Amino acid sequence: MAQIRELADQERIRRLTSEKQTIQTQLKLLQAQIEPHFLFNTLSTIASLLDTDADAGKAMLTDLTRYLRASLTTTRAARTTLGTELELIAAYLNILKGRMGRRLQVTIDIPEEMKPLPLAPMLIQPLVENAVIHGIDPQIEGGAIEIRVQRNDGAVEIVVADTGCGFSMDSRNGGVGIANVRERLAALYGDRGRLRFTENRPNGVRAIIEVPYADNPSRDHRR
Amino acid sequence: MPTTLRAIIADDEAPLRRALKTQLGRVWPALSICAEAENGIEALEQITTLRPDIAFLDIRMPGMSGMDVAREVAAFCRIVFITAYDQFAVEAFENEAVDYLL
Repeated sequence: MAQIRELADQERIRRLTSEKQTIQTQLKLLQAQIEPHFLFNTLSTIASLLDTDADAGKAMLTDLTRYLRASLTTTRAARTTLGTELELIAAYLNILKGRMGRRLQVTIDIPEEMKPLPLAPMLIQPLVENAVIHGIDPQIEGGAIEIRVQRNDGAVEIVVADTGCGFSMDSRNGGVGIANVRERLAALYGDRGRLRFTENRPNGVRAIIEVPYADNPSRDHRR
Repeated sequence: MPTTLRAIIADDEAPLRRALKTQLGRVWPALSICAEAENGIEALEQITTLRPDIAFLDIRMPGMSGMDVAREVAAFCRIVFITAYDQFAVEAFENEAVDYLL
């Protein structure tokens, strides 16, 4: 009887280990799909700036290095913190500001005490990228992006709001990057991780991520 | 006495406009840059009004793409597309581009 129980336990461990490996592989693949053209365009701009405004070129190169270092470190790690993730976003947006000039305004607002909270990496960046590329950049006058983190009962709410061209111009809600975020939220947090989109007044889109407040994602999923 | 040609540069990124202007100044000192545009609609207005000999057009611009601008002006202005994507080259030539710069 004891032998049968032991065999059943071993089988259960083997199955759970296999499932965990499958999910980890899937997450790595999804993370690898993050938009690569950004790097290509930024290097092109840096090459141009080094010819005409070397200081601005060096500044953008520093931002790019900071962004890549933070990005590669966090994508290798299973977890990061909200503070580290928003530093990465700030470096990313700084690069875009260097390219777009006055057409892009940026606000990032996170309470100091929420910066150490754990978060899975690269959940916010695709939303920011989506807001700039599909919302703000197509507008001649550009626009503003505001990233705000707040506590909402037992959840952390991360809001990415833009004053871009809204839902009508493209499939803001249906791109590959957004599908990746939804899949990763479901894999990491189960039904306690959500992404929703609402209209931003007077114009633009609000993307809202909700994750459990300061809990271990893998534990949450199994509840 | 060589004839001075006139050109406009259209690109939504100011650093790229400046860089192209500097590079053209080095390799083609006789070329005069008569205007710069930061979006497709501005580019179309400038080309229609100023009638430059050459328009250097970025392909992805707000308001109107470089391809769409080219379709409107190719009959009276030579087009050179400037792009980071060589995948656009075939479509560029279909729109009567004389060349493209990567």
